[in-house]
Amino acid sequence: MNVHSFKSRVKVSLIITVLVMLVASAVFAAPLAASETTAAAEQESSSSLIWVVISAAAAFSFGALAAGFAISHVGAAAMGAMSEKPEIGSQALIFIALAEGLVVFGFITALMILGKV
Amino acid sequence: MSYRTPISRYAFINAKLQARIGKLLPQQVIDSLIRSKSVEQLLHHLEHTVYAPLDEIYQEFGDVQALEAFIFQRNITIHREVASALDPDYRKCIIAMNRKAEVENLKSMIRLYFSNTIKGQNIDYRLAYLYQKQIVDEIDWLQIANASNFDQVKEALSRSIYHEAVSGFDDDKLRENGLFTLEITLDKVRVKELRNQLQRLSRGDRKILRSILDRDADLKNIINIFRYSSSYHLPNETLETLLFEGGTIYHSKELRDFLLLEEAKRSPFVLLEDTYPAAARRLKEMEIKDLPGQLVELENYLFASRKEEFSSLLRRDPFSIGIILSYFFLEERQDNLVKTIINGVHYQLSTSRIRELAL
Repeated sequence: MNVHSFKSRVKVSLIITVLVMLVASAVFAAPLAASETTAAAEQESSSSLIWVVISAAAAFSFGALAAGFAISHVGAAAMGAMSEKPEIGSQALIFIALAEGLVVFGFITALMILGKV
Repeated sequence: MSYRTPISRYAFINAKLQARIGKLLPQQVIDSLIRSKSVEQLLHHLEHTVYAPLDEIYQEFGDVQALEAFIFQRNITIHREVASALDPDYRKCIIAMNRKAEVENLKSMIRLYFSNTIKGQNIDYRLAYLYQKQIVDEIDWLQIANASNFDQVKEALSRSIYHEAVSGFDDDKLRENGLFTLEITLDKVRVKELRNQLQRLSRGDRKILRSILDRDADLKNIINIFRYSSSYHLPNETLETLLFEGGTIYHSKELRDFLLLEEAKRSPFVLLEDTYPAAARRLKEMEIKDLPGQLVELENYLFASRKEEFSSLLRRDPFSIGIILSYFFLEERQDNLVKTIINGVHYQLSTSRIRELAL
């Protein structure tokens, strides 16, 4: 795979991810919105709920993506160091856990957003 | 140009090399090596280090040259390992660095050819300890050592980057001038190739590597200028062909002024006053009057500043080629240290003399 095809694959996968997130939030928001009683309130509530769910999904998914990105690099560095000094394995895990913390922050933020509904 | 970010490129390999740097021989082990009463005892101190295989080799061959051959081979392997963990453009650059070992091996083979053909000495014993496999280019090492004339040496180098550079030499030239011009020419080819390869690196890495190469060029040029003008009395034209490109000295006005002076008036101060003022100041402070003494002090200063530069690379950006360069430097330094101590113990030099040679 050359550089150009690699870059285009990355772009395509990012676009697909964003589209899936948008469609998923719309699909899952719809049944929740349907439970509202009056038509006007239903419409207003439905549109605001969509944004709430999108925000929660974005908070969680960006946290997860950032954690994945960080772990890929911290993990690679940890593997490199551990291949020479296996005794530092437990110390390396601390740094991987720090990167993993990003997804937890995203998850908590998402819960806090959903809690406002 | 590579598409990877510095973090993704260097995360694995630089962490691995930093860990290896942490495992370099500590001072107390080096002290124990220096105090060893025999080579066997010395190798026992290296039991749990990267030099552990030396013990087995010594038991098999009983020869310090076999130990040196192993250390040489290890250096080539280290470069290959690092190269294999990098992306193609960087890999090519590290392979170009491995040409240092290739040129050293080539020089040793040509010296064997010289001893065999020009001086008529027996080379069988020495040949067995030289590296005879491919390092970077395809070179027929045996053909070089056993060549009956220099044309055969050129033929053995026909598939390498050195072919063009050696084509200007022949047996008469070598007999008349010796090997040093050929050896410097080979070094210049190696450095030129490395400078070509560094063009493909990222801007930051290019800057780091270029500054190291410039410092090396200055170091070699200063040493060569004084050595060959004062000891070998070479004319300016020949002296200029021996200079390495790059660095502050090569294109400096000070060098042109220096070369215009009569040999007796050539002093390191003329050359260094503006290009390396700290070195010139240090020489003045030490009040060494004779040129050989000044040169020894100058060499020490330049090597110390080179060492300091590599140490500072370790303290800077952890995601740069600086870590790799520092690692190669520290490994090479440690290899030289171990080789010096092994030879010192083998030839039963005093502890203080070994310490003086090694450190």
